[in-house]
Amino acid sequence: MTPDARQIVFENVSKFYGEVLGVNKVSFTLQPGITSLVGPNGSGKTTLMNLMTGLIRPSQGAIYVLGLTPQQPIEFFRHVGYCTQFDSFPTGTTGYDFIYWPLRLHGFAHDQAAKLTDEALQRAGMAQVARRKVAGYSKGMRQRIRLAQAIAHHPCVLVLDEPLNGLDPMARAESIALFEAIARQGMHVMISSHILEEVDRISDRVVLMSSGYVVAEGQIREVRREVRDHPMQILVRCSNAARLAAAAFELDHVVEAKILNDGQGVLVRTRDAEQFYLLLNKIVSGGLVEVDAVAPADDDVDSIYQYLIGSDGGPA
Amino acid sequence: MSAQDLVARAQKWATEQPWRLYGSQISILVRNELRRNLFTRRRIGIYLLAWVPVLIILTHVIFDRNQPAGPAQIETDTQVLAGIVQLYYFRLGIFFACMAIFTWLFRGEMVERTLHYQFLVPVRREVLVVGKFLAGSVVAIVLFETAVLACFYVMYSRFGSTGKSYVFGGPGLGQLGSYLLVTALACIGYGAVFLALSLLFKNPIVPGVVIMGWETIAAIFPDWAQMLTVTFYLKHLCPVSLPLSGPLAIFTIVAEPVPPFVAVLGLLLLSITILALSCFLIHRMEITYTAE
Amino acid sequence: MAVYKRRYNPYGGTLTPQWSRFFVLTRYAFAELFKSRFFVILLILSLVPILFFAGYIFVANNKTVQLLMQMRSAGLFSVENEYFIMIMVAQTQVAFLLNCWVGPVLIAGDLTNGALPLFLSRPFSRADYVLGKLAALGLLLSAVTWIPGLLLFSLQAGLARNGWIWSHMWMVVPIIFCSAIWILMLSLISLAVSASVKLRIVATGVIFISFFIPAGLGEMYNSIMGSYWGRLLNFTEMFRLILAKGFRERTGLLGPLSRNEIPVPAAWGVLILVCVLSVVILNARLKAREVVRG
Repeated sequence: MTPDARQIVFENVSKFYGEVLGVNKVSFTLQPGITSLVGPNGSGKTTLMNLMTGLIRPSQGAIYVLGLTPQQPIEFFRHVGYCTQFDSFPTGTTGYDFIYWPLRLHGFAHDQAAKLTDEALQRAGMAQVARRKVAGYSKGMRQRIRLAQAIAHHPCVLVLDEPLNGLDPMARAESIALFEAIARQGMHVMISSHILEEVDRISDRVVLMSSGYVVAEGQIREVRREVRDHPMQILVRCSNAARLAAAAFELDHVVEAKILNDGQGVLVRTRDAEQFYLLLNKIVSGGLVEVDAVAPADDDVDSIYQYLIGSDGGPA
Repeated sequence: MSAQDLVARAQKWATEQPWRLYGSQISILVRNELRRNLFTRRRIGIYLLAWVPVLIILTHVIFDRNQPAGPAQIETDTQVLAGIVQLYYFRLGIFFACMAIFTWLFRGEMVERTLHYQFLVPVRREVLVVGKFLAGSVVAIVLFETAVLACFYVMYSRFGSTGKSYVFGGPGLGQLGSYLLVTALACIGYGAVFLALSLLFKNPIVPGVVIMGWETIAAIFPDWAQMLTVTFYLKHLCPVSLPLSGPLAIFTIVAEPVPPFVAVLGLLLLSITILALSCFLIHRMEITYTAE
Repeated sequence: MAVYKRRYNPYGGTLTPQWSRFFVLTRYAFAELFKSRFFVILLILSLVPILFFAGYIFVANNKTVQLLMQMRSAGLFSVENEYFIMIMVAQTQVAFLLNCWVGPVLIAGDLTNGALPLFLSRPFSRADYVLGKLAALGLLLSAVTWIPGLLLFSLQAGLARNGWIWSHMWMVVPIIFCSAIWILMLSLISLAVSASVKLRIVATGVIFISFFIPAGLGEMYNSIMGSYWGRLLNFTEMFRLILAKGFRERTGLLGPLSRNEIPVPAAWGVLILVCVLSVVILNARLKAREVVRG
């Protein structure tokens, strides 16, 4: 397979720490946009990110980021920024120095490096405290200064390991807006997170991991459609709920139709959503039911996570 | 593949490399390391290692200021100075200081969980090794050269004009030059060894002390084995021989005299070989802080 | 279906007695140490010389073997005080190496991981903590010094005839006491250094340095000042002085005998002073709180 200059490619990647499995036989290809890595603790999310950025080497397989590998660090790290989960900093460093010196190593002259440093500090909301030592920062500030360092050189691929940890709601919203803005420019943003609600809101696609394996990968709705063991839930707010429920029951693929407590809608569980929507069209056009709203009730990351990985973190 | 092809490929490779970028990256790495490591409170132990002899000599000068300071005393003090440089600095002071400075360059960052920052910038890992090694060398050389210089100055300053003529009109200046050269070479040689050890072992201190044992007993082994020690090259460059007897005499055995330039080149070659090994080792290095 | 009222029930079983509670730490320290393959190898290697010493004793007392080896000559094989000094010198050096590896593991790890406040927030005092760690080191170093020393003594006593045991019984005292002071000093230095520098790798380095550098500085002091008191800083040599005295050694086996000899009480004084200093450092460093400087 020829590595594409716009894609992130994992080819049959495995990583073993002695006898312990890190990740096993991971293969997928990512297009630009926001990709979320989702999975319980120890599922291999950080391992995957560390493999991608060359902090660890795969026991087997190959990884290409925009057609490059970490073995070509000069080109690779000009395009990649990685905000790790390690909450440690060089002794005695200030927020400013923490961003400025790596930029100098990128080859930027003093003026340019200083300009980029200021810009990154502004974007991360850290300009006011930049001259203070990092050791005195709060957890949220440390998180943001790491983020600032990762974005300072304007990378095309931004890898963020739990970037929302320790941030207050305001900073979290700002960070999410920043990720979305970067993704809109046609760049890759890879995020690992436990906050499924936010992942759901910002992700173009998800990679679900469990026990070192990729359980599912793709756009959230596509993934949900592929999960056939769990019928899809569709919520219909309508006028004649009983009539709709009766019609739905006539279809083979509908396993449950539950009238809502207020009697103003039905929650349908079906194995074939497309067929149900056709039926709904027919009923509505026949004037039997007046529909106010139709919405899938479980095609979010949270539901997929529950179905595929389970609430206890193990495979369902 | 013929030799010509090999040369052509090597030339092509050499012209493709961004040497200027490497150079600027090395300079930035050195400056950054110096800024972080040269004058810090954490280095007090190393400063003491370098400067305690100066303090002892100073005490000697103060307490023995009324003693006759003739040529005989100069000879005695020259021997004492040779003992300080050859037995204390080369065997202990520089050895342990290099152990502290050079093992910390990578292993320290591993322990403090900050090495990943170095691996996530567009810098080749070989450049990182060279940059850090140079930074460590500058720290060690500055520290010990000034200490040796101070020892020399304090030792001979008490002799007044006799001392001045010994230094500037006699063998003194040559001895000083040799000591400074040997000090720098010792820092480079031990530095390369400890840098490699820190990449090879999680706790490089114990292997470091094994190296110390090897450096001591290698004198009784054949020449080829002695060439694998740093002290082998240093001994040939020392300007004053020590008349030691008993177990300490093992420190002064010189199996077969070697010309000074061969000793200098030999040590540099040994250091470069060890650095090349470090470059190879750093490519295998992974960030697994939990294993520390 | 019965509904049970749930309420807190404190533990009502027996507790480890207060006086022996520190052994809990010792037990866990050993469990942790033996997980390391390197440590097991090091420990086995530490005991290898004992096999050679035992072999020598066997040969020395077995005329048939001497005949077979064609090595029989009067006085060639002698197991007297000099031989036991050799054993002690070798094994105390082995103990030093073992201590450098093990010592920092014991306390530095707890301090780095902030585990000390956890220990001390239980019915467990700082003295218990130090005793527990000290016992781990003490037992370990005993296993390579006086215990094999006594075993070799017993072996020789069993193989030799003509009342060897009774004429040499006095050697049991230096075997135990000389080992004890060395073990105590090594352990306390090791614990004090580990408590001061926290990081294991640095602690190992500092323990080495604390033996080699003072010795070097002492020698330098002697040559500059024309003195011999600088040798007081050479802890290994002070120990050997005590060893020589304890084993009634007069042949100069442990260095030339001269008038410029440090008196044995001074040697004892230095080793005890080092122990006291280490205890002071431990007392200052081991606190049930952690100060984080920003």
